[in-house]
Amino acid sequence: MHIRTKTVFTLLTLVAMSSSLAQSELTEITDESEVLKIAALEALISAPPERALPLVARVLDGNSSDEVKSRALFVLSQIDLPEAQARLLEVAKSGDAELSGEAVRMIGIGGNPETLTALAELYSAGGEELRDAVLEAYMIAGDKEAVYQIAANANDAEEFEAAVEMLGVMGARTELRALSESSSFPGVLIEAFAISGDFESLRELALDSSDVQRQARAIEALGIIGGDSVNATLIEIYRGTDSDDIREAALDGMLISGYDEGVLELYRSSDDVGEKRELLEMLSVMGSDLLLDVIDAALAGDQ
Amino acid sequence: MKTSLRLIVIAVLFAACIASESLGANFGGPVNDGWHTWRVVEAGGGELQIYASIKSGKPVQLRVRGDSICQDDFDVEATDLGLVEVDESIDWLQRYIEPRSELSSDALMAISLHSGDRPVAVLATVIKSANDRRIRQEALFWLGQSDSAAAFDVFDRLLSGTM
Repeated sequence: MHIRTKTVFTLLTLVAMSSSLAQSELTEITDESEVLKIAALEALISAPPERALPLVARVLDGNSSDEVKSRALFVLSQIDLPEAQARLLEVAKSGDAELSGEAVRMIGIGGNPETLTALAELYSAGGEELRDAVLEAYMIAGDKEAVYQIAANANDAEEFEAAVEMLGVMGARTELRALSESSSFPGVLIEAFAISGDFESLRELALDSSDVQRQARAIEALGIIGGDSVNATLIEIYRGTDSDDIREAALDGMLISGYDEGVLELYRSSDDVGEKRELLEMLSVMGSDLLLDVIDAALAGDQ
Repeated sequence: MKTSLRLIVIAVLFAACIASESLGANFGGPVNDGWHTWRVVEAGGGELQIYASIKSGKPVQLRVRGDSICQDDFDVEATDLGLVEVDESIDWLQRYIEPRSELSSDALMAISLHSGDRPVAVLATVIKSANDRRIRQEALFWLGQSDSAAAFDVFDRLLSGTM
């Protein structure tokens, strides 16, 4: 027998990890032979790849359940051999409803650049589920450029939105900014900016009054990012506008970010009774304890 | 006469030395309290040093050192039981796989590192018939570390449902 790692602790950790993971997942599978097959596949992850590959391939060719075959695909994704990648791609292209999407995701986990590139072709030819799986695979692999290309070359708004949302999740600020320059679908980009945490881009849109609807959406989205800079911007926007819609959007942003201190600050600095009422309502909607401060101050005759 | 007497003495001493190096059939495992150690032929041809700590006549800890495995922070004074046959060492270790205890994992690992066909056979038996699922999974892990064709034959039978 041959142990490829020289450190026993690493191996023991692996055993402990794989066992505990496997244990929790396998408890749901009642067929003992299925359980053993899955455990055997997981054991093959740390086996010499040239030995493991034919065994895993045989499982995929055989009559095992989809559950077992899914695990085989995962093992395949961990085998650092070109044949393993080719096999994964083959299953991805197979059209098998259950397994092809799983194979695509496993290609993402494996992160082999050539196989990931080959997914672009699959995306173009595939149905909605497969396209989602390809986007997911790119996300798992952190391939922002591939998702950007899909968004940039999208055939319809739905396809564009799915790719842009994924870019947001991936924190792909540069790619999202590039899309915002050429896109005719700015709405979804605003949410994606927020999800990616791109304060600068959102601030720019939030201060741009050329399109009030877009501006209001950007202001609200700032609340998703939250934090001191956002809070200061929301106060700045609220105070600097004459538009009720924009003020309302700024308050909504504060609601989303949970910035009740800002709302209280606006309340205290306002002389307009109607506005004060609105701000109090907002504090109430926020469930803020600061509302009690306001009530106490009013009872004391300070406000 | 003097020379032949010297030769006889040397031969006797040599035989005694060989006997102490190879406890062979007499190995029943350590019994007295404290650390004990013995050597076996390791898979790959080197030497595997096995350590067992005995308390109240029962093993409580197992450690292994060899060409393919090391435990840098492990250093104890141990009673040397010498070189032991692979089968006998495995027979002793096999007793501590089940029921599950702190020794189970170490026993499986130690067995897997012995030379010859026996480790694969033992691990295959554990995989097939151990009552504890986690022990079976650990046996599978150690079997997966093997380079031997026999080990992969076990995997093949397992995955094709013919085991």
